[in-house]
Amino acid sequence: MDMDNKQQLDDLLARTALGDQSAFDLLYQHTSSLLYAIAFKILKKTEYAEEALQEAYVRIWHNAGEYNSEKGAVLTWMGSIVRYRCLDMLRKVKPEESIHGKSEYIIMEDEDPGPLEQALMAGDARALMDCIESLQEKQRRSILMAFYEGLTHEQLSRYLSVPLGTVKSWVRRGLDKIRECLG
Amino acid sequence: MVNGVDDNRYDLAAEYVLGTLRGNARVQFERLLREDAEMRKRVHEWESRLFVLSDGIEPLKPHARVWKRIQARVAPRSDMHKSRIGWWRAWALAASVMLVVLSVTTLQLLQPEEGSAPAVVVLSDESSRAGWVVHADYDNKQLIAQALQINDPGEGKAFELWMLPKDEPPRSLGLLPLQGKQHLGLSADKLAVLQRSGALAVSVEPAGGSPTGLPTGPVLYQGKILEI
Repeated sequence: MDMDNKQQLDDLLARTALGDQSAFDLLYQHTSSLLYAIAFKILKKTEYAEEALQEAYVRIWHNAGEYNSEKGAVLTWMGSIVRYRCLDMLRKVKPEESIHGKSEYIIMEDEDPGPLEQALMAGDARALMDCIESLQEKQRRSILMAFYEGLTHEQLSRYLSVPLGTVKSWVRRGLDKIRECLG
Repeated sequence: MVNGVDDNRYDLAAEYVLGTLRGNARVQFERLLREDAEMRKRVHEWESRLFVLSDGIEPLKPHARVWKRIQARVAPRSDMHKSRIGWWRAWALAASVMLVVLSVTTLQLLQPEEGSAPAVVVLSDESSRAGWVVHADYDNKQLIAQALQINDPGEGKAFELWMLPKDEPPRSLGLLPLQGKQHLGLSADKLAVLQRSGALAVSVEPAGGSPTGLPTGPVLYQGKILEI
């Protein structure tokens, strides 16, 4: 995304709420690369990620008037719409064509710090990253994999080779700590 | 057990946002969200906490066909934008239709409830230039005014927003921002006046607002209340 000016996104969304197609076009240009990347990380297939993105932007167009700042930053609001759309799609995928193949997990095994490291560089992510770094390694991994890859408790349990109950408590305690840490 | 329930609810909001709340539990939670403003607030808090993680994702440009498909889906509204005049004409038509709808929905407005149709007002000057967009957020009993392009009202002056109820004097809703957003609280009393109003107007007033409780300066912007 080459525009991180929140005020500009606010203005574009406000104009989108009025049915201004050119504002919506700009909003798409400035946000779609990030939102598509989010969708692709979760869904792993171009076809699915494109569908999720398309559905999400149609929803953003129709619901732009319902946005207000209490729903978080514009980008957070839009990104959440995309993520929830992706999670809905995962739910509908039949088990035999499960998007999350073992190979994807092996890539995760490298503990590629890419996203995390880059996030560390962004100023407004610093506080969250400090909190996430303070988590136990297992809690941290569970939460990051769930967020970036859209994994369920069951998938995390299989991948990390620990009982379901253990994974659930890692996630829960990790989230509790993040909440306490961020206040 | 109130605390216990609260703790449990908090976890649900967090796991919903994280994505680990799945299957039927997720569907049921979404149903609950539609009715529970407090829970929606918690979800938004968690979205703001966790979404920063996305800062670290390498952007990936989607294929041009995606935008074409999106455009095709939103095209019926976009047709109105072929000319600005056309848009305003369509808007004026919508406004007159909505005046009828407003009278029908009076009861709903009197007792705002979850899921009330949001209302919007575009405050425009004589040359149809939009200065503010005002959204009614009935769930949280407030108006949200977003400044678009505003000329400075002048030294020691401010823009004040007024409701125009039929056969009654204007009632103030507060001062408008010159840039960004401003939340304007809606008391039950103001809400009742608002539902008797078909339009809002903006006047130029001394910095703290009109000293008389009525507009004292020129009215520069007006807009009809539209439900969307």
